Amino acid sequence: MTGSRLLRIEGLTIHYLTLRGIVRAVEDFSLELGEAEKLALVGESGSGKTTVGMAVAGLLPPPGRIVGGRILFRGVDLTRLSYDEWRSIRGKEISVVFQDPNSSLNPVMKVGDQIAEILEAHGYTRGEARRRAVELLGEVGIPDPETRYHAYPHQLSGGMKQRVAIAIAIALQPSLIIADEPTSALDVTIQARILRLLKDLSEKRKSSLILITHDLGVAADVADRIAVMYAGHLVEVGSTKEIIEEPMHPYTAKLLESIPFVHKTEGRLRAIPGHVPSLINPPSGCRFHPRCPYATEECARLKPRPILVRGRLVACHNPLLGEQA
Amino acid sequence: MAFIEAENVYKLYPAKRSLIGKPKTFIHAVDGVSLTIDKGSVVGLVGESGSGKSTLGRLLVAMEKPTKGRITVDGVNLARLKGRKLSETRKKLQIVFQNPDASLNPRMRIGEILSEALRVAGEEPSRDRVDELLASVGLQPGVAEQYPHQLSGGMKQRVAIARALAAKPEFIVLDEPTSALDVSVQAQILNLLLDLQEKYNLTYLFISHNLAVVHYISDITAVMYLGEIVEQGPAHILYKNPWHPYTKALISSMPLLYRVKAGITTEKVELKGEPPSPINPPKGCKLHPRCPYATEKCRREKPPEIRIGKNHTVKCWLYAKK
Repeated sequence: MTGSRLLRIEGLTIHYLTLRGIVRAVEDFSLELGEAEKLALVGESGSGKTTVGMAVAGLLPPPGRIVGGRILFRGVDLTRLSYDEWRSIRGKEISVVFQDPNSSLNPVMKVGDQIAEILEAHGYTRGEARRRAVELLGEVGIPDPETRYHAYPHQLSGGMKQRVAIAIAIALQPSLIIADEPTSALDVTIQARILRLLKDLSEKRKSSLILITHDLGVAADVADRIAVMYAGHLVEVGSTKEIIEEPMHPYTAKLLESIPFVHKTEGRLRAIPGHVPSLINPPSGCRFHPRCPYATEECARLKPRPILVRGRLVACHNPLLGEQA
Repeated sequence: MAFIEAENVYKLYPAKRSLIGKPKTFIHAVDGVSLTIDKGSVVGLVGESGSGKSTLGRLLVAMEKPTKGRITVDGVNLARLKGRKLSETRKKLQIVFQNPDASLNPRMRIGEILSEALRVAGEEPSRDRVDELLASVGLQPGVAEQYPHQLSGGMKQRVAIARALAAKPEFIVLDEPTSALDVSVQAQILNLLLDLQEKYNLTYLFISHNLAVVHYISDITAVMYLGEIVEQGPAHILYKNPWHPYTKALISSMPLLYRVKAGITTEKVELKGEPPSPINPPKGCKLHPRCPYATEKCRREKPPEIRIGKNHTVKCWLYAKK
């Protein structure tokens, strides 16, 4: 972890109350994030990665409810903030970049005005806000920002729209940006540029970044540390290098093995059998145990708590420690 | 032996019409493509959104007719086929789409969906045949009683594949078949597709924007940009040693982890800007406004297709003999 602690999540538990039952989306999730640290939250669909991200941003959609735990941001518990208190934090301290810029940008408002609006709401005069908005458009790599200030979202490509969304997110110099699959709707060449932009901005401004992604390759390109989630549980947190090169949790290892890195002539992929479980009736104990080749009787019975193994947190009764991996 | 052959195929869609409905401008979705797919091989088609890869796929299974050019299946020109002959040929050509939620009728049980496919294929559906189809894609017979919403995404895609198999096809276009799936499930489906290919000697066109997946599954990889195939070659060669500046740009923008694991060390090529509209594509080489190596010639003239190795061609002036 670089620098001091910015965010500390303790035992976060989030349920969605649905007609079909209680969806146990996140259970007993703890994580720390340092100042100016870039962390990737990686998992497949239903892993709870977005739910965690949205809870930290105070944007948990109904019927989601935080039923346990704390989210300490510079010592303040975000789970207890009122709507008005959130307004002074969101955007200014914590801001979000979503997957689809089409749904986060206002289609009938000039993109420059959308940035200026936020600045004005936080004390800038109209003239200052406009000047600053142009600067921000330039800073996120939009060519000819004076002209593009007057463009509407539909006049911009997907990559450019995402840049505008990023400009909005950094406008008030937040200490933490949460980017939820920011490049999943974009083509590969554009994806690479947006990821580099997020990384550069975070480094230049010394702000922290939580990148939510399903793609370990994307995570490794940007993050200092990677946290892997499975079915609402945090399974492993470590430096990017450690996670990629020596995964200790069987799920992380299996996930890496199922990525088609090579050509088929080098053999079939080692797929993980089965599929992600329903979170209304999640498996007992370790939620990965029904799909885990190393599962023992204990795994079905007892939820493994994250323990520190060789400087990294792993929630597994039988972590992979080199030889048997 | 060539099974599918596309020769100089074009597909134009009207973009704007005049008051009396006469098309004024066209989207050049497929703009002069020649492609040969050998029997029993997998051709991977990569390209960014709007490159025309899905349109090409639909042309090759006779879902759409080309505006110009010739497509032959097993030596037979598709344009010459009508009525029963055409529907007989179409049975050999199947397509699987990205999103099984959109391609499976939510009000039909899986058994009914597969029975319908068998009936369309001219076969009297039976419980045994449905079970056999389910088994061929790794599903239990009990699935026949279920509705699509009761299945996971991976299982639904297995059903979509089983439905394509009902007609005993020889060629299947797989249009982003794993893009909506999680990585761990994607691996299951890729393995299944390879097993089926071996078992039934199938020929595939595998379309995806996911470069790693196409690298893994294809024998030949073709790269599309604005309706044209700019480079095609054996997958392991093309990824490690791409020639076209666009191919280089694509491959060098893969996350580092993928490149390291695949042993790809190709130089970084940065393209300027973003793809232009296929309504008024640039003259000459379509990449020239974005290409760092573009010359005057690239702006004026279309590059020829240059052979640079066995089954490996590139359309770029950089490699033309002076």
